[in-house]
Amino acid sequence: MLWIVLLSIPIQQDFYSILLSLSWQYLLIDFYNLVTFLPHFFDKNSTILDWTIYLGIAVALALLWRSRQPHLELNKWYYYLRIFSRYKLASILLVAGFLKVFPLYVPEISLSHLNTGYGYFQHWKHLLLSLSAAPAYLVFLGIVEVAAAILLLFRRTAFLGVIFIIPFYGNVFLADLAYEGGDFLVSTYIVLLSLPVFVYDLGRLGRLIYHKAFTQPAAWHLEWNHSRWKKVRVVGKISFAVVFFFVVGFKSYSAFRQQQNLFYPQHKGLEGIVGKYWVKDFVLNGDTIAPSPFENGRWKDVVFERWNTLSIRVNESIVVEEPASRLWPRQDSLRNYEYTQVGDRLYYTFQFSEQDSILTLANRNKHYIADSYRFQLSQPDSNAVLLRGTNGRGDSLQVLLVYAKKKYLLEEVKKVGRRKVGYKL
Amino acid sequence: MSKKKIDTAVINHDTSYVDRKQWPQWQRILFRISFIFFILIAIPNNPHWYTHVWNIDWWNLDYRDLYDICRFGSGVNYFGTTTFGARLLGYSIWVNTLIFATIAGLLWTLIVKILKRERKEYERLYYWLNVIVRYRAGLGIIGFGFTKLFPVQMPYPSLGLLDTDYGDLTAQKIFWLSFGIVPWYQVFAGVLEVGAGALLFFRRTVAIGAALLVGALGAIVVVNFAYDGGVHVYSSYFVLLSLFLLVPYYKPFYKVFVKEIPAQVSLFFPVFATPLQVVRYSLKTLTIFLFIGVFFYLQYLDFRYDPYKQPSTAGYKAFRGNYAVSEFKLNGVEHPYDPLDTVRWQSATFEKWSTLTFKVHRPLPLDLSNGGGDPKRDVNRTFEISGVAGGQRAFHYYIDTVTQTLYLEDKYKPIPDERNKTADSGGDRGVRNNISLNDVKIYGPTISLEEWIPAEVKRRLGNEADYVHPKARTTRRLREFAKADELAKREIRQRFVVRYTIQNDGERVILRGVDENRDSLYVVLDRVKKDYKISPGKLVAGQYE
Repeated sequence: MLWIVLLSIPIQQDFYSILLSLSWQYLLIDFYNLVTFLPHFFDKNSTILDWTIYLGIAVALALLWRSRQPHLELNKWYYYLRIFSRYKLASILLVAGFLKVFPLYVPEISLSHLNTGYGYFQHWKHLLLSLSAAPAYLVFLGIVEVAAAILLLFRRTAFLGVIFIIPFYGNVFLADLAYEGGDFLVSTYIVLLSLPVFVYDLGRLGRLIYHKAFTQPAAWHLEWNHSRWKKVRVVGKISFAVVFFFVVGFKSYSAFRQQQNLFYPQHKGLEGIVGKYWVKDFVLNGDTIAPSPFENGRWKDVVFERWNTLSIRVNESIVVEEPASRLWPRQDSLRNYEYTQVGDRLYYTFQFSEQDSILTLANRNKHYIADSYRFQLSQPDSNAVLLRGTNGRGDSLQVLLVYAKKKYLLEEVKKVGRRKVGYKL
Repeated sequence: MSKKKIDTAVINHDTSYVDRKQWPQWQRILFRISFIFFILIAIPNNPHWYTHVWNIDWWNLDYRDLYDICRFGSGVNYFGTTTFGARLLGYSIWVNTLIFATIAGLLWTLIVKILKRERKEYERLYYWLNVIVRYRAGLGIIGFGFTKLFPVQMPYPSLGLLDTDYGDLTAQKIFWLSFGIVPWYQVFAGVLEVGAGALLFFRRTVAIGAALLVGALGAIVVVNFAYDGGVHVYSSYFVLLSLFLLVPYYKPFYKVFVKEIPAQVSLFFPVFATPLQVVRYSLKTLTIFLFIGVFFYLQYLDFRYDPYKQPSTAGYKAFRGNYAVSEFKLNGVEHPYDPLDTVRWQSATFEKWSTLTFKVHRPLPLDLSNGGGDPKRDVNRTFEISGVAGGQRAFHYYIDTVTQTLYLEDKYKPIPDERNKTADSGGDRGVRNNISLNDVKIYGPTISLEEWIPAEVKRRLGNEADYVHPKARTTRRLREFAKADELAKREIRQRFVVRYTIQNDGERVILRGVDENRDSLYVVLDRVKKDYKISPGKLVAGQYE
């Protein structure tokens, strides 16, 4: 009996190690992206089916392994597994953590989003926006992750590290499910990675704090001093620290300092034309269209972002585009954060030619590919923008926009505080 | 005590296994200070709390009765809410209490020295201090947790809120709403809080419960700072109590897992004689029965029939939904649709409860509170406008279907109620009532309370206390409504009256009447379908059918 019980340990641990090492390959590629500062640790192809297949392979390999080497040194292999888990976890946490310590993980809220009705965002977008609303919270989450990662780098503190990480990522997992993030496998993976370390000491913890009994520490250690791997270990540890602390940390910091963001286009917007604009006149094919609360083809308001995006609020309902991949993109053309998972407005990328003041707009939502405009842009005065031109169907269009001196409570309240009575906005 | 088989280690829950050795002098002094500090911080310091508990009608309980038992301010408030003039972000009461406890602790030391009654240790007193702190923290967090376990603390956004622009909300509102749209996640948070609280009731699981509390409430403290939620002090309170409960565990944990040397948690548990044991188990059973069993049921009733942050009266069924304002006349003058018109209503909603909201394009005085608290009257439940700008107005209505008339009352009032009186410094008291009546004359109502609803209609409307399901007609509710008329007289609110005409199954609603400024009002509302990207799931609070 005991023999079987003992042997069942490698089966489980083996399953973990294989599962981990296979996923690890995907994440390694992603890790390069992270270090080169275009991070994405999610693989869109990873599904529960993949996981099930890996599990099957793992069990098969474990059985094979057991039949070959029935007298395996379990302690040693388990020890190796924990080392792997700890460093794998630490690498993820450091990258994810630094991106939050220097709050790059979510972008600041765009003007278009500030001017979108609450009900028009999908759940996942709501989660990200709510994090954007208070970067201080994100910084806190990042500090916890980095601190846990540091604890994981040392065998003696690794257990404390996973005690932080399991509830942390358990919570992330539930948030992923609740907000339909679709990437609950990542948080699952992180929790899974922490289990070998956690389970190893769990019995001792229970004995110590639950039974309040006299507790012996873990006895088995690998004797590095007698191992020829001693030097490799030192070099490995140092290079790990260099890559993940200094490189990732520095990159995150510098991106933060330069006010870069990972979500919006990097191309500059129009000089002097940034903000929300009301639509004063709207003339389609020579007919002036009056404002209306119903669908009539008229625009309601227009936002010029600081980058080359223009968004238009319309009465029509909008078919929302969902991001195909959750990888964080590098090129502007793939940066879809601002227009996916949200309705109420149409989002256009624009190009402006300085010589002839021609503004061309192209709708970025894949459901509106034909939607485009070509305008002659002029400014009757510093608060107004006049657009004259045609839409994609060749209709002539003339729109007069007037700057809206919009104050946002989200920002204003930070100045006045919430304890004030009679504050007007 | 179940004695599980844990090899041959010493495991004995009587006094013998703890070596009752002499505590060093510093430890005894520290203990005396901690003892006074934690006792003071674990008992209510507000007379309201005591009168509340005394007046509870135990035969017709409201969830809020138990909630209020669990939630109270504590500490030495004799010196006010500042420490030498500094508010210390609201933590000054802790500092004051600590100063008081230090002085008292040192005096205690001096007295035992003079009397030569110095004890070797305080194991037994420490046990009792732990018991008090455990139950204080456990009950406190259970009170909070149940409002999430049945998701009512963060309500699902109303139609008016869904129609409000993201930038027109406070950060606090954004956080609360982002929880409100995922009720199952809120349930999970509630299970965690109630679970952690329950673990504190049992000696063996104290460390697990306290560790969970440190994690969960620690995050909530940061949330409250980051989003300006206003309850950072009270959430820190649980972190502080939990860290205190973990004191006996730090060193053994450090020894076993970091130093890798054997260790044991040294805690003294007294052995009770049989009669005392009976008392102990009865009290414990009573606590669990009341604060887990009964509380669960009461909170369920609240969730089902009377979610405390949203009005409980069902809205008139024929007109619920989002409306566009097709026509708007004020004193006979037509205001065509124009998003920049400062008089016209821009859009309107009739909620599933008794609220009409509409948007105007002009600055309004705002309610920046959390919109929570314990009001029973629907007009005082202001979650739908608190922390909301963008010209959003919300009016509570009484409907007289005989004359087809709506009697509307502004949910905003310039002098807000003080909320969570029982909780005192343990709560968020809402916006402090620090403006004088003179300041608010400009908002004064032009339609007085008496003029607003004629006596005959008032009789027809019946008693508002009975508008909810019988199971939600708690003594607390009845008592509050008994005083409602008196309180209403002292309120400053805008009021108006309109006749309504419903056409085409509510596709069109026409309102005719006088507005709050006695101007004649004519509004044609046409139903619009909003293409929202979120929708409520199956877990919906309230009974509005």
